[in-house]
Amino acid sequence: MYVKGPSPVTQIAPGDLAPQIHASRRSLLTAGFGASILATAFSALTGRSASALQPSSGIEEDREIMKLAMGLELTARDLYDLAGAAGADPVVTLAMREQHESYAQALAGTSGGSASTRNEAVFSQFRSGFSSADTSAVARVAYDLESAAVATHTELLGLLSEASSARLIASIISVEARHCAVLADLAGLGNNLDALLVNTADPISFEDQ
Amino acid sequence: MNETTPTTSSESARRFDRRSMLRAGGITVSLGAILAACGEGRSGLEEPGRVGTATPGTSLLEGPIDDLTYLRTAQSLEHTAIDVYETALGLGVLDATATAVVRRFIADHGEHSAAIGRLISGLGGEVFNCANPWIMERTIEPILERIQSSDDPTRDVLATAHALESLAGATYQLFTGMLSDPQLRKAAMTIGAEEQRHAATLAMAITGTPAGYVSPALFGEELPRTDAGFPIPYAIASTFGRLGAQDLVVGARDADGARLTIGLQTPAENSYVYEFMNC
Repeated sequence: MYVKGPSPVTQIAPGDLAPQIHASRRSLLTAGFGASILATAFSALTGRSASALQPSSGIEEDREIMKLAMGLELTARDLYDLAGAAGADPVVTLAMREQHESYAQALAGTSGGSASTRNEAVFSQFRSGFSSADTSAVARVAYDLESAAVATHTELLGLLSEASSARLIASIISVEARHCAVLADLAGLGNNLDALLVNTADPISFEDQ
Repeated sequence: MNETTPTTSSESARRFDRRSMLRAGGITVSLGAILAACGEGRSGLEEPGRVGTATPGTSLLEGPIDDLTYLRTAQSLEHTAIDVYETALGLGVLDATATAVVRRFIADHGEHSAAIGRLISGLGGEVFNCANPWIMERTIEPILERIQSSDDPTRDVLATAHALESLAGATYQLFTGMLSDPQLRKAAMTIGAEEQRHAATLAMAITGTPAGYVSPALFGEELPRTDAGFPIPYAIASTFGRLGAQDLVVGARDADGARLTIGLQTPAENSYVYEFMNC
């Protein structure tokens, strides 16, 4: 269950997905990941030099991490908007769109900011896949996005110091994991237990953004 | 004719005070003597009185509650699920597809238990490779009893599996906020996400697709039940992961026309696997 491999839905090896998703687990697990991810996030969010980042406490670090998670949720919301506008199944795309927006708002509340900054790199990567009226095709791409989101949030849990932050992220992971199972079925893989049950995605790396 | 001498108000007050004091003191002494007599030589139970024939309550287990407690409890839930699935397979009521799914779930829970066991050992604790004793006795055994005499055991096995997987997912979510070490939280939620996918897969199998994808409650609609009154499971039942009780209805109707209705609760002090507990 813990061996990562190609996505059972798209059959794309994790290394081929995109610059944002490649080799992220290795980089996330390096000792310097916390500072790196925070520096990048700080720079992206504030426009200030990453070297200016001086987290003063666990709470401040958590806020920056929660902003990264929030950006990912806003990206997912906007991508489902594309699918809905293109004519994909309205029930699933609307439900998931609304849930990602709720997550972004909750994360913004915790991080003390407003839910306004999506992750442009991830949005660009998935944009064309979501811009389709073919529900099954959208489901395949959405499966990869949701799987990556679950992997990313799970990785962030290992960086968060505050239990309250961890509780929120955990409650999001619980439902996004269910999204994956639904999307596998919607993609026509309802008889494929690996597609339904196993997350082979790597976490999204924020290092290059 | 007796003449009375008028008295001043201050003299009257003085007399009243003296008389009142004597009377009050006498009453106090008398009541004290009565109470002392009643209380002397009493024996018997000192607990509050009980009315009726209800089973006396059990005392709450006490022990340190820490990361090891949470992990051992989580591991016990994995074995609870394995025991339930093995019992279900023994009933012979599942078709080939459902049997394959159950066998896969048994394997997954075995891997989860092994992963949790490694975390426990890493913390210097003792693994708990057994079902949760409190949950088995209070919840699972009555459910299995009803399933064995059910009017539709297949329906009940699948509903029980869905409730158990949802409970396991909720438990890992709950414990993620209670574990002290971020790396343990991450490990717990890695497993928790898989339990949630188990639950979602079962919901789709039970309810069918696309009807079983998304709960109508998320669109502000009423939650329907089946014609027979059973709750309908959905793969996506809420916006945030639920921690509340997992409602389960199983078994044939009893003489009053009711089925066993039970709420599976996430573990708490009464069902934790404390460090002093062994298999």
